[in-house]
Amino acid sequence: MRRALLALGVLLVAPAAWAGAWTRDAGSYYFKVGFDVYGAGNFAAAGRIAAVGQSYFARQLNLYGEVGVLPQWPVQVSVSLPAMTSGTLYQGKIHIPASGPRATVVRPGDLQVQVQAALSKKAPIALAVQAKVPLYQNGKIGLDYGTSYKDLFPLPGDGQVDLTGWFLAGASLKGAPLWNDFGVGYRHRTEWFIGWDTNATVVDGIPFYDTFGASLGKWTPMLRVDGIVNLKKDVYTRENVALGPAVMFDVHDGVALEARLSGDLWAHDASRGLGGGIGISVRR
Amino acid sequence: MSDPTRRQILYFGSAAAAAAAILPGCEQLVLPTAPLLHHIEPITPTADFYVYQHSLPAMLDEQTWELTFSDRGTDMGTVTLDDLDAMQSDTFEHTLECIGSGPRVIRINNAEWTGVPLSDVLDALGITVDPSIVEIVMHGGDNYATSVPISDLDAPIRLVWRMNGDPLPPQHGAPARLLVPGRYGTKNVKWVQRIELTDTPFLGFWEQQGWSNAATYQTSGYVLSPGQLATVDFGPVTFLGVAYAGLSPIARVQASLDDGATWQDAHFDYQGGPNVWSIWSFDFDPPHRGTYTLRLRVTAEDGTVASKPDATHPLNGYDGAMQVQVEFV
Repeated sequence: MRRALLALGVLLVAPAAWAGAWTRDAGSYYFKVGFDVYGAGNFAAAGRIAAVGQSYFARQLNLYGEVGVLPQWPVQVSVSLPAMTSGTLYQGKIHIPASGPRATVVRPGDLQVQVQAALSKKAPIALAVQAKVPLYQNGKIGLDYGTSYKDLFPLPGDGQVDLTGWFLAGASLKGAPLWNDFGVGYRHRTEWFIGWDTNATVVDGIPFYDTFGASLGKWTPMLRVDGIVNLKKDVYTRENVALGPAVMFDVHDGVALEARLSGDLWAHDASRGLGGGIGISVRR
Repeated sequence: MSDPTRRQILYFGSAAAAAAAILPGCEQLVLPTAPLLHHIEPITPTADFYVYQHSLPAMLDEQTWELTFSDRGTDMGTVTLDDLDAMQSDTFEHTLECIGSGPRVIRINNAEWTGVPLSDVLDALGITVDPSIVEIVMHGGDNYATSVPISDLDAPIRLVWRMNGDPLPPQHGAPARLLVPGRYGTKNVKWVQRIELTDTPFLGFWEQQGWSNAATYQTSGYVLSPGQLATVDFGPVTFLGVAYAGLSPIARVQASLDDGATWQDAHFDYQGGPNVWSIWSFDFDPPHRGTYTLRLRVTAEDGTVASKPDATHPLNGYDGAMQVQVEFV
């Protein structure tokens, strides 16, 4: 129980890329290597138990890919693999010594696999199912440091499997380079904890996003809002709404540099922080 | 406690668990090096006293500061710092421990405070406590609020404005704060601006988030030197630490270096009474080089004993007795 109180809600780095409403035809692909960071002044590892004076800084190296797989109908498979994620928790000032301990965990993060099928060959409307599976075992984090210190380590994530269904819809303005991409889903948070004996409970929620963008030659600036609202009150499951700009710059024949910023406008039972990322992508 | 359904793993979950077991990863813990202490001052210098608050500290002007009293929604009067200075005050020791303190992050200190019982201020304002009043709600200038039972007035709750002989510094609640005997730091409101007598229970900021509402001090023991995982030169060493139980004085501190098979009494270097910590020391001469683990057992005069290193419930305050592992090289 103690471990659960100190653990959940820590995977705060946003996904490095997102599948949009435009489902890929067979053979079409998009791959991205990204590096993302997230920082928060108040570390809310324990859900509602926000600890002022304990900051959190997370870094994530992420591999992302999506591929159109069926010639008969637009169906794509997307995989997000945080190859390495790490979080650092700095404790506030303590009695002796005056500066606090620093605990860092480096682990693979949550594997996310999504299968998306277009509802129309012409219109960007699609349904998708997504599974999040942790590639780390929270139960093993910090064990080598003994009972007094293992709780000091921020965990890579909630440590359980999520299953999410999405409805995705896109639209572009005829005669103008503007487009909008919208998605809303239902996230079922299972209590299938991987390698972690915990009594933590988690609740389902409604994830959503909206990206408004403009295709201006080599530049594609975007503004994105995303978040999740829980269906029930819960001390562990993070709720938030984040907003931020992103940009893609085509450097050569489908190869692009990408950057994004994102700040939590609102967060419940969790810390509010600022995130960002850079990446390089290739698409065809 | 464990519920099998919550440990259920799907087939692909098993695969993920297997993958997680073989994928690379590392952990690093950097514990600041702490010098070996030769003694612990009974009175903590103000600069070393722990600081913890729920948000940014309030910066109140002592010239314009007023403490407002209300009774079931009706304002009953105010006092200023000059009013308090004119009252008969006393100076006393009082130990504060954060409810989140524990072996990982130790937040406990003792200081000399100057102030008056809150009941004296109520008397000076001519406020009598109606029998229907159940709690005192204390509001800070940082928008923090919490409550204690009205019976705590007799503890007594004190309103203080000096710390270790100096005016209360901003980080400790200037111009004035409250000290509530027997209750963790969460109940000791800093930057106090409003005192409210209420006939309905009130749930404070931290309490709404699951921390103990009673916040009654638990019996606890800390090892302050050598620190956890410290490496020291081979030879005699003196373990130093503090023990505290709030209202109840500490009766006994014992140490064990054989995982609790045998216990030896530690020496009291300073034995505080109610609301004041006790400082203990324990001499140890290791027979050979190697790693030793010191366990602690603390007994309070009220009979409560702390003997395990972990807290029973992390939101009720630390009720354990630290153990430290020290390597002699």
